[in-house]
Amino acid sequence: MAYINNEIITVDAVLTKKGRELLAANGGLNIKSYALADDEIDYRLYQPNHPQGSAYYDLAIRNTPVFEAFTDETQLLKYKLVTLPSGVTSIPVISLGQSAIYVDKDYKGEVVIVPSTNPVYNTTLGYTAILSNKSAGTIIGEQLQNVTTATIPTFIGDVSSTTAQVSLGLRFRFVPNSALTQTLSATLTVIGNESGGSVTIPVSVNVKGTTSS
Amino acid sequence: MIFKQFDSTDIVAGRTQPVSTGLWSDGESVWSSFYTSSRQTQQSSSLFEPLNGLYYTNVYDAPTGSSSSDIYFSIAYGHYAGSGSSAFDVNSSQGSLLFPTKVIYNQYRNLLLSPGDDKFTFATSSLSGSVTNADDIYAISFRNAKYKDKLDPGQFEMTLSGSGVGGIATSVTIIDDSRDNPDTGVQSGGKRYNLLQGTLVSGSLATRNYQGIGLMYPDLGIIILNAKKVHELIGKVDGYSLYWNTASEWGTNFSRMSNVLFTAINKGAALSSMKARITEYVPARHFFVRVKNQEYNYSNNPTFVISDNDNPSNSQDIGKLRFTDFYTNPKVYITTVGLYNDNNDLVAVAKLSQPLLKDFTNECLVRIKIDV
Repeated sequence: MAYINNEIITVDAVLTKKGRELLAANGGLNIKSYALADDEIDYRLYQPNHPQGSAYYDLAIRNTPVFEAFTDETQLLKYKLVTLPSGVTSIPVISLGQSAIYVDKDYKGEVVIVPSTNPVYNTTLGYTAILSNKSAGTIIGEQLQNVTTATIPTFIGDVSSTTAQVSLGLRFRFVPNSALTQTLSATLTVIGNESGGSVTIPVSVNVKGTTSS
Repeated sequence: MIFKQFDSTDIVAGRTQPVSTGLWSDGESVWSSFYTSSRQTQQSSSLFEPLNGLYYTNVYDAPTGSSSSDIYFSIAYGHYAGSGSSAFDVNSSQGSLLFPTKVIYNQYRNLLLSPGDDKFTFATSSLSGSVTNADDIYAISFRNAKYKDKLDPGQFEMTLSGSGVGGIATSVTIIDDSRDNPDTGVQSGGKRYNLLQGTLVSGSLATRNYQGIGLMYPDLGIIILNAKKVHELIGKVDGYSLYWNTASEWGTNFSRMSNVLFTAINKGAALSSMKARITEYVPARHFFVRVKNQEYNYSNNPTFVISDNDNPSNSQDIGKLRFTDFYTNPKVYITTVGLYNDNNDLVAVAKLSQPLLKDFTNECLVRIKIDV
């Protein structure tokens, strides 16, 4: 007879830079929700044909050392776990109508980005679009009603964070910056606010006769 | 769904948790060598400023030139009438007539004694009310940053060493009487314990055998010693009396009474380390993350699915779960829990010590503690 495992895992949390900033400004953190992630895990190490049997299938994964917590919130929880119905065979994949955006700075039309998720997802909370360099232009979110939250950590680092533009919506419009004097490259990342998946495409606003900075 | 709201019962707030640790560097509870700054302890200079040891002597855990050196406590000598102030100070033609020993005695009296109580009194036997008054005291004040919220009663031990009587070195080891007298009353300086001879290992030499040695105020991190009684127990220290005996002992030197006790402490620590523990009350919040069996069984980790880089034989497999086993029984391994505010800002993060398996057949309960 063995003892029943009634273990509760207890861990200490570390405040992120954003958490410390809010604590200093507001005196509280106002924590409301949580998310889980498996950033360190490489599922390719799962060995369903391990010669010693099923107990060894995930041995390499279970022994993966885990990093200490960083305080930079933009580098944490990149790969979130998601709740999906049992039996699904694929993770919701976000796709855009285009694989890149290349426009001249004087382009007068609209570059419309319509994310979709397969299988269908993110229909309520929509998507978060992050233009890594707002000097390249403006990203405008549309069609999303009464959702003011759902900001997703941007994973683009402190330096980039100060230059990035974040927008929420079910579809987006990109308007290039006509005041540019030099061709500028950036990235556009679209993240599903329900599924957590993301897709990133390059953006380039072309100024004739110049090269990308 | 990637975010889940906490229920009101998942958050436990408003609790403080006592954290006990050793007083000294790196949480050590014993320390055997102490140091002072020569700038503060010189005995013949005419440099005259408070930091020059006029009122107190700071005691360090390492030589003051060392990068790890830090002040742990200060030693001050106080006299009811101002005796023991340096000859320089009381010289009416040159000095400033600051009477530092009187200042010290009075400030500790104001802090620790009730109004109208002019002198420190120390219990001299187990009999209630049997006390002795003291004209001169030593105050050992631990730095607030070091003793946090309190010195732990029953965890303090200090050995003092002197020349003894007849040149035979004598030492005395003292502890507080919290074991014999746990229900001590709360005085104007907070809880107060008597000091008596004994060791932490063996307890007091004799229960409540008070000899008027001193007092401990754990909530203030202060030890008050009866200077004359300590002198009776260990004798002179390097030729100097521990209480104000006669000015001739000091000759032309500044009188540095606090240095005398420092020497007794340092010599005593070489014989038996000074022992002390502290307690800090840390306000903490606990968040219970309850992951039910139906939740969080899939991952956005790019290695969880088949990608272009895997060169699948059938391009339609791209985006599918990497292993067919996972179609019916997906497995993920939790390494990180992120806590979000109502604006979905990631404000705190907790890491598990090792990946935690999660699938449709199990549930997880993770308790996360935040010290805020």
